[in-house]
Amino acid sequence: MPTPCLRVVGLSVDYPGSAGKVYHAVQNVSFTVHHGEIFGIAGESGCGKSSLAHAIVRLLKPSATVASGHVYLDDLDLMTLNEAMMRSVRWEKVAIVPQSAMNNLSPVLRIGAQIVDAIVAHESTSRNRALDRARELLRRVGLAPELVASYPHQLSGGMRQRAVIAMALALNPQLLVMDEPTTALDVVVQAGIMHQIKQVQREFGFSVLVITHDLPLLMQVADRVGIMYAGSFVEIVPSPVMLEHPRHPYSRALMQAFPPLLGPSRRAPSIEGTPPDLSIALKGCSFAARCPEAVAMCGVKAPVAMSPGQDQLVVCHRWEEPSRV
Amino acid sequence: MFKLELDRVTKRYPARGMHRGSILSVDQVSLQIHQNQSIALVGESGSGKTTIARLVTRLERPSSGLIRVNQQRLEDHSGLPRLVQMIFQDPFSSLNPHYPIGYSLERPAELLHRISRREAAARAAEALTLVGLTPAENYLDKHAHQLSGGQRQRVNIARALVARPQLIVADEPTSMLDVSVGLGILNLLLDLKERSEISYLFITHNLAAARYVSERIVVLYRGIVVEDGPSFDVINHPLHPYTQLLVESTPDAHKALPRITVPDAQEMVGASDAGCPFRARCPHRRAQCEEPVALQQREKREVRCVLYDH
Ligand SMILES: Nc1ncnc2c1ncn2[C@@H]1O[C@H](COP(=O)(O)OP(=O)(O)OP(=O)(O)O)[C@@H](O)[C@H]1O
Ligand SMILES: Nc1ncnc2c1ncn2[C@@H]1O[C@H](COP(=O)(O)OP(=O)(O)OP(=O)(O)O)[C@@H](O)[C@H]1O
Ligand SMILES: [Mg+2]
Ligand SMILES: [Mg+2]
Repeated sequence: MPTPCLRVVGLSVDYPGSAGKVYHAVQNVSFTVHHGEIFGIAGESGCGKSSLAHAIVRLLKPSATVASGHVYLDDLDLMTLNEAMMRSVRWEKVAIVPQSAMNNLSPVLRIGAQIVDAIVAHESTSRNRALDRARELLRRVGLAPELVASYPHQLSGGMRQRAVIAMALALNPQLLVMDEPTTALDVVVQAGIMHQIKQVQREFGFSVLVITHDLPLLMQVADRVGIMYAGSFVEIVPSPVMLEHPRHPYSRALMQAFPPLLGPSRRAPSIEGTPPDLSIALKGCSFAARCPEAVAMCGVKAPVAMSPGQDQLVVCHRWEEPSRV
Repeated sequence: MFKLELDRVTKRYPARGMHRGSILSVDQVSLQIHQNQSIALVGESGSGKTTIARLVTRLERPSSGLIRVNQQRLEDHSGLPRLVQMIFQDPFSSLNPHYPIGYSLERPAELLHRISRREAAARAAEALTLVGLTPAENYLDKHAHQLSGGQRQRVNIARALVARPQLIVADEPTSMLDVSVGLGILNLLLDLKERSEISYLFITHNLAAARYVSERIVVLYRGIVVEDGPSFDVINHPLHPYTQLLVESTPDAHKALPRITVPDAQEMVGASDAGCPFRARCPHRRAQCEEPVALQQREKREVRCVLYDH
């Protein structure tokens, strides 16, 4: 029986908009990441992936508010911790590699020093011992240990990204959150980093929450994937189920939006329209206006979350009907 | 019949910063685009894709080699914009924010084809309709900032179309767009090609997108063509070790994650020597790789690797 490492319950994030509007960027999201699991989140720009990740580690921008919800790491409710306690939980229990983190390394400090700083801020250990750890961490992500002496500008983008991941692993967190870890990188470098992450994860058994808009990549990496649309998950299933039997029409449309590399070449239908304005409360399903399979009910009544199987979720009125495409 | 040919085209740029000498951005590249054909250029960042686009659209001149359009030298061509148009990667900065969309479309039509305002306006409306921005009247008065990224990229395509070109050079036209929006743009390119005689030079770093849009794929590595062939063959039976690595690395939900442990690009040999530019990362490296390798012909394909040098 898998046990939960991260449990998110009813989490909502709001941003203030112009003219008194409120943008509901994350809307009542609940999901679980098990110990030793790689959980992937995919969805298009603006659907709330980064907001969700930042809310989980409590690193939202000051303008944002957590309107509701709880985040449990094992049994610890992160929302009840004060800032000082949260600072120690971050890195030690949960670490985040934010979107474009590789460009946020300090340009004036050597890679080793930056990792050492993170370690000694949380543990009473000497800088020398911490530097040995930094070397070991670099080796773990496939970099030469000697690179502790390098400055960020001496490394390629892919090497910097590996260094940032090494740093996130410095305090042996039980959960590693990665927001678009390879988006700006070459596909070969991307594949190398993803392979390395999976290997380290297998060896040490921590959990991973990884975000990317690249659904095919995500399905290669993650044990389970969640598809987000307009601030909520529309479907959560194991990757093989998403591949064979996606139940939500948006999941299907998103899968098809990536032309396949292999197999027969055929035209994929475009998804017409745009996502809804997140400041307006919708009566029905958030995807109804663009959904090729919508029926009258979809525009007026919000579908409830159903669980077609253990640790699965689908939010669609027509989820039980056999695949209609 | 339209035909564009690059014949051993080379482009050098003076090296920047403290480095001496020059950067070889494009090295002896030969390729052909026929009427109603779509050719994809793929390769990693810095492999010379945009440089080729800029050479073909005459924004740059080759350091050596020849580009011919319909048997005529590109540099002697008087009406090139009527034949070749370009769509840029960034839909957000490629439209003038001060002019309404209508003006951005009518002006080039008027100038290129010496037609009246009214004819140009009709052509602009027609182009907007072709790219799916309908009814066109709703868009003519809008400014770029009032449109989404996908709509702006459609306007960019419409702007290329008003020139009635034979070839559109599309440099990563979807890389800054959401996938669903980007797919709409790719489908639009396919529709236009089905309905007219237009040809494309489609530039992308995504092999799957290359196959979706193009019949032929040309793989560049550090300015050199390492492989060129029908899309299906290049993807299903890649010959060059770099193409093999590229195919293996390209995400595909049906494949397992590849076990890739290649040295990072940083640790590679200098690019300016004569040998195979890929040899530092190549699992098949041997002594001959230090020497220049000729492009080998293999039926409908070309590959530049000693493995096929018989
Ligand atoms: N600081 C902010 N102020 C106001 N609105 C914001 C802010 N940050 C994000 N938003 C809005 O919240 C929504 C979700 O944004 P978020 O960055 O979480 O999306 P995302 O899924 O990570 O997108 P991307 O794929 O582009 O990174 C968007 O509509 C965005 O405009
Ligand atoms: N104007 C210039 N001056 C000097 N060097 C240049 C210039 N333009 C391009 N280069 C160099 O030429 C090489 C090829 O660049 P190019 O922009 O054609 O690559 P690309 O394949 O389009 O890459 P990307 O995928 O990043 O767009 C690079 O090494 C680049 O730094
Ligand atoms: Mg984001
Ligand atoms: Mg380019």
